Amino acid sequence: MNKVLSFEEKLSRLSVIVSELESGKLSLDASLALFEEGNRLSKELATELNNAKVKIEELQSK
Amino acid sequence: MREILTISKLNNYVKNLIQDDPYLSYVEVRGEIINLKRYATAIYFTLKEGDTARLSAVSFNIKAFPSTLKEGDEVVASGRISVYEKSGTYQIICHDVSYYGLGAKLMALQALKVKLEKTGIFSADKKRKIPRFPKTIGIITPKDSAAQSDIITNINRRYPLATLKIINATFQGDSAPLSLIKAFKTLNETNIDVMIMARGGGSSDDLWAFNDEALVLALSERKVPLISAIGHEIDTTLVDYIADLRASTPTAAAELSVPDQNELRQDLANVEIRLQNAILSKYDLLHTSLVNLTKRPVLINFNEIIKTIETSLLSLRTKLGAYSAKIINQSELLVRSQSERLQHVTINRLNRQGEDITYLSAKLLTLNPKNVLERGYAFITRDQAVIKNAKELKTKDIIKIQFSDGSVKAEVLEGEEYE
Repeated sequence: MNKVLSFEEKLSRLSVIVSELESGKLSLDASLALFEEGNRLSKELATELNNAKVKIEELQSK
Repeated sequence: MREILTISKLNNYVKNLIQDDPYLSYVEVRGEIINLKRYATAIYFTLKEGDTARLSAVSFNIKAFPSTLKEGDEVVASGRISVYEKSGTYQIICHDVSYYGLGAKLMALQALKVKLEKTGIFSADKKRKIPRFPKTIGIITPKDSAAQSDIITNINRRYPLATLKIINATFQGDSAPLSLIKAFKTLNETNIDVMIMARGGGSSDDLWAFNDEALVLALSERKVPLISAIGHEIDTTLVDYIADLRASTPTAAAELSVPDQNELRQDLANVEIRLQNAILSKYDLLHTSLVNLTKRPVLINFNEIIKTIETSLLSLRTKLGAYSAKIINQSELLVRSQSERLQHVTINRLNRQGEDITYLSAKLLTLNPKNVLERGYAFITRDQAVIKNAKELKTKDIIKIQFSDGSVKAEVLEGEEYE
């Protein structure tokens, strides 16, 4: 997962992580890895919201 | 010598004069309907031009007289001028009566709506779903309008991650439809996820551009969902009909186009709690397994280790529990960063516990029966089945006794039943 995920992709990944963790079927190691990834994503998303400001472009009719 | 006329002769003369006049044999005259009287075979009314002039009218062609027409309506009556001899008045005998002005526009609009409906461009299966997280939003508004600033303010407040592509168009007057079509086509060729067409309030006459057939047909070629915020609840324009979502105001359109960051932040906080709870349940499960292990006599020697792990897990749970509670209560980022530090510590702790458990399982593996045999025990099989009870063996049974270094074959001299 080297590519930069969009806000929406991160949110959907986060939701997958929570479901997988909540299923309780994973090994301890896998659970911990997901727990860390989930917390990291959640933090990143909050940071994105905190730093964002609407970008405005003005277009002309062709 | 002049003839002295009867009234009927005079009226008849005038009638013939008028009826023979080619100009009066067909006229179209405009006026407001008053004194409307409907009968089975004829409809009588008067056409009025302000307070300056009136004209009596009759229509024997009831089918050509729209049933929706009422007093006060502005109409165009067409027909011939004739004289009603009994009263010595002249009147128009109408072939046709139709709406004039706004009335005509409304009728034409209704007809256009029906026509466009038949093409299916308004149907429910043509409606697109507004994406939940649009990256780029195209906006068509009047230049420097309140609509434009309302949309920018509200999208920035709710979802500052969005990029807005704004294009201005003329929203009123004869040039409006073409200007709107051009703006739409430019935007439609741009990479956007959703489109808003919005204007402020105004009289209903200002909305006519949004009933333009060419504009509506152009909008039917949209590549992304369209949210309209054209007019008021009472005046639905054709653009509102073709839009995928209709908003009552520009602010409402902005709110419908993007999610609310406050809700997203709440969602994120909930997700963090769920993550905590899930990992805690995982530990609870491991804890229970450890407790069960302590009950197996063969593991009695490990009691000390297990007690230690149990204590660690307990304090771990307390800490994680406290962390979860913090997430619920915290609203300040400051508090959040502190708890994140705590969480970091916790994760390291969890990792260490994970290693302990791996070590434990390795130990468990070494407890295979072979090790037990080395301590001087042996087990017995008959036909490869392990014998666990004396009752299972009868006199003369041939058995195998398994030691740690090999096995011997033996015969039972006296089975259980012998006693």
